[in-house]
This record gives sequence, structure tokens and C-alpha cells, in this order.
Amino acid sequence: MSVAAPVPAEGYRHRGVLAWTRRAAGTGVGFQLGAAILCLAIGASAAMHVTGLGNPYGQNLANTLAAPSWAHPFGTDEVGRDVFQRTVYATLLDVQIGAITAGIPLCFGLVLGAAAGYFGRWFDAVVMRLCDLILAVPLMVLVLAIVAAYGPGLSGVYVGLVVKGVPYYVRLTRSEMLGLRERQFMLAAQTLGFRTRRVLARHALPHLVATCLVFFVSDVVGNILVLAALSYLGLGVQPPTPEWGAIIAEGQVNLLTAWWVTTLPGVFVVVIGVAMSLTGEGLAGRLRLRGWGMR
Amino acid sequence: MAKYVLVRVGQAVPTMIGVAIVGFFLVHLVPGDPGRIALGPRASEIAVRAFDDNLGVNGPIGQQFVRFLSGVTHLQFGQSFTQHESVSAAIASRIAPTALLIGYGFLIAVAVTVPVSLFVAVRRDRAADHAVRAIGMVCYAMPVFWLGLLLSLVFGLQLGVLPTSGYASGLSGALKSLTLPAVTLALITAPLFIRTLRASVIGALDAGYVEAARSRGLSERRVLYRHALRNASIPFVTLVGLTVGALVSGAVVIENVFALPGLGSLLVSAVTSRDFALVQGLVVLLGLCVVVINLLADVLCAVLDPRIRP
Repeated sequence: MSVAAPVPAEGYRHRGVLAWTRRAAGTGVGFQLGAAILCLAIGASAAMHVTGLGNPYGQNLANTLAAPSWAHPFGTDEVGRDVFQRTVYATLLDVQIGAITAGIPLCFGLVLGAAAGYFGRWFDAVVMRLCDLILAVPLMVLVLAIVAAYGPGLSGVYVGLVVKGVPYYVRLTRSEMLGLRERQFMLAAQTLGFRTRRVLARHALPHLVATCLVFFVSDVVGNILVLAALSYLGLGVQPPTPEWGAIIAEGQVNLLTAWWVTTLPGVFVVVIGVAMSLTGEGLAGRLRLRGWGMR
Repeated sequence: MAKYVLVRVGQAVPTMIGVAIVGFFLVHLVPGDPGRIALGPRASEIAVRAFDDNLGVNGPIGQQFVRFLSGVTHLQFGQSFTQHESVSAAIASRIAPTALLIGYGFLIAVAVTVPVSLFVAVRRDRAADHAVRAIGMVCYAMPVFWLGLLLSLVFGLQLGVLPTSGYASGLSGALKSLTLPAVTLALITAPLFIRTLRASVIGALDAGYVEAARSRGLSERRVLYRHALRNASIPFVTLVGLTVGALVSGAVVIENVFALPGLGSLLVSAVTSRDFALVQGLVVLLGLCVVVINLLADVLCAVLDPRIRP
């Protein structure tokens, strides 16, 4: 005789990513506004990439450094390219690099932090000392040094941002794990004789991911700003590829005569950054956690 | 107290060695021969060999590391091939603008943080509180270099009240040329400070000792400054120690925006020209500075709060 556990229909109906997002979307105006702006900007950028609409590289030497107008909302740059189109076009690249360089450390950090917090002892000590080692060097200095080793371009940026990110996620996950380890449901899972892997993956991980996701959102903003700074210094994305920092840097020479090339893309970056922060705070409210500012 | 300081210094030593290890392995991240990569494919074999010798990347790795560590203890990092002087001399001649910029920016940030957080903590969840939070969110999302350019456009180019680039000698000249960079640095760090200090002042205002102070009939002013602020400043000082890294990171970018001859612009030019010895020296030196400042912050906490002392 098999004993089928009665499945509570109520408990399973609202599962899944879609349902979760729908519930999270009900958390407030800030979240909805932020998510809407993000979707709009990323969608527009993706559309430009996919369909080839717009012309972010097209030069027009007859119309250089034109002031903002309806035809060119952000004006044109030194060689007559439309700054607004370049800025929007760059969104996908910036957000993508920001998300990848926050996502990879998220995965590493989850595994390492969970293991360090759960097993403790020498493994914990080794992992935490390694993290201290990376955290001791100022963020920008560390990333610049790694870029120096790899040379200008994106590979150094990727490695640098990933290396700098891992310790934050490890610390976050570990401290969460330390509290989680003593909770009833974890003890119950262990008492039931589940394998360690199952206890960690099925019972602990959902709680750990929630904490990390909130930090992830603010980390994406931080990484985009570092990427933009590196490109501004000429060490990240190389011209003529549109990237926010590079676009702002291109306008610096003509700051006095054509303020728009530098100023307006920066405003765009701030709007996207605030939208991300709002989304993150919405998530944090949903998960009853703290928001940005853990750097 | 002396015992606490000694124990804390003892704890900092492994971190310092860790910084040296990071600096050491940096050169080993270079894909290929560092000398060949820095000097280019047309450099002579002798020049490449000399470059690697200067960097200390020859022989067994254990030997390299011991040599590097003994170099660090003497503050010797070899010769910088772009600056035509030793790495330590290049760093020493550029350290003043950076130190002044960080100190100046930090002072402005604290001068803004303390009154604003007290003001906001007393009016929690009212309009002013929300406004400060929104401003903080905007500041957090601002690219540092963009903010610097914006300030130099408005105050330097349009109003013409402050210099936008360069570094004048003498104290008054230095202060004048560092004002815009320092304000930029303060604007990006103050939101984080305000957030923390506000939270800890609110925590302190809810504590029993504040109620006790009020019930003794002390003035609200005295309660706020002597009882709440002093207790709230302890987590704040710890945070300040932890954000020194962020201050240094900000200064590195800001120096390049305002063309200040400091360690940040030295670092970026070293990275661009792949002067590995100089990069190594700067990473180790800046890392050590951060460790030392963290140490000082912890000691200051112990001075402020007798409970921390053993």
C-alpha cells in the first residue's frame, strides 16, 4: 500500500517564477516604476540591436555638435552621431556586462558561502581568509590592477569585476547560513536523514538566494558604474563601440561648447541606476530585507 | 587598552601579508612574458630580460615571493620604466594630493552627514526623511567622473569660481584646486554615511538609556548629542573604516577627471603603459594604507566605547 502524501492544492498554485514576479510586482509604486523604466530601456536597446533600427555609428560631418532637438534629443557629437541613439544602444551592453559580472560571483559566492557556513571549521577559515585578502585592496585599485595584467579591453574588466564580487556574496551567504543552520526546518531535514547535498540545495538554498538577489541588484548598478569609469579612463570598452562611460568621455573635450554630449547620457545612466535601485528595494520589501548600500 | 591595541595589530598582520600576496600574484596573471608584453614585440631580448629582472619574475616562484616580501618590508618595488625613477620615489612624490583629497573629501562628507542624519532621524518617515533617501539613491547611481565633470562645468567653466584641473602648490592653492574634487568625493560617500548614521541614531533614540535621560529631565538637545549621538557614532566609525576603500576608489577616478598629480592618475597611467612594477607598488601601498586606517578606526571605537575594551 503506497502512502501518497496529500498535496495541498493551495500551496502549489502560486509557485513558479511568473507567479512570484506577479506577486512581487504588487509591492509598490517604486518597484513598478523602476521595473517599467528598466524594461523600456532594455527593450528599446534590444530592439535596436536585433532589428538594426536606428544608426548609433552613423556619422554626419555636416551636423556636428548640434544642440538637442526633436530629431536628436541628446544632440550630436563631434562627428555628428546621434548621442541619444548611442546611449540607448549602449544600454544592452552595459546592463549585460553588469549582470554577468554580478551573476557569476553570485553563483560562486552562494556555493562557497553556503559550504563555509554549513561545514565551518578549516574550510570556513580558509574561505574567509581568502575573502579578506581580496577585500583588503580598494575595489577600483584591484580592478585596475587586473586590467593592467590583461591589457585594455573587456577580458580584464570581466575578470576584475568577478574577482572583486565573490567575497561580498560569500560573506553574505555565510552569515545567513550560520543563522539558518540552527533553524528547526534545517534540523528536521538533517534528522530525516537527507543527504547533505539535498539539505543544502532544497532546504537552505531558497533562503540564501533571496538575500543574495537583493544585493545582486545593487551590485549590478555598482558594476555598471565601475565599467563606465574604466571605459571613461580608456581601459574598458574601446571606441567606437557605444558605452556609457566612453560616450561621456568623448564629450569631455567639448564640455564648454557642447555640454549635452557629456551631461545627458549621464542623466540617462542615473535614471537607469535609480530604476534598478527602486526595483531592488521593491524586492527587498517583498523579501523584508535591507536594500542597497552594502558595499 | 594597550593590550587591545596590540591584539588588534596582531590581527592586522596576516591581512597585510595578504595584500602583499595579491600584489605578488598580479604579475603572474599577465598572459605571457610581462617584459615582452610591456615593451612590445620589437623590443630586444636584453631589454625584456632586464624588465623581468627588475620585476623579479625569474627563478623559482618561492624564491620570487621571498624576494618580493623582503622588498615590500623595505618599501622597494624596483624601478618604474615610465617614470624613470624608483617606484617608491614616484609614489612618494605623488602622495600629497591624494592624501589631501581623501582627507578633505572625508571632512566635507562628515560635516554634511552628522547634521543631516540627526535632522532626519528625529523626523523619521516624514517628508524630509524621504527626500534625503531619494537624494541618496540618485547619488548612489551617479557615475563619479560624470558628477565631477558636471561640477567642473557649472562651478569652473560657467561660474568660473574654482579651477577645473591641475594642482597649485602651497596650502591655499592646494585647497582651492582640491575643492571641486573633494566635493565630488563627498557627494558619492555621504549618502552611505547618512544611511548608516541615521539608522544607528534611530536605534539609539529607541534605547532605554535615552528614555532614562529624558525622564531625568535633560534637555532634548543634550539627550540627542550626548546620549544618542555618542552611542550611534560607534557603528558609524566602524563603517568609516570600512569605506576607506571606497574613498580611495573614488579618488582614483576623480584625480583623472581633474588632472590632479596624485596616486590615482599615477595608477591609471601605469595601467595604460603596463608599468607592472609601479602597479604592484601602488596596489600594495594603497592596500596597506586601507588596512592601517581600518586598524585606527577600530582603536578609535575602543576609545569611544569602553565596553569594547577587554
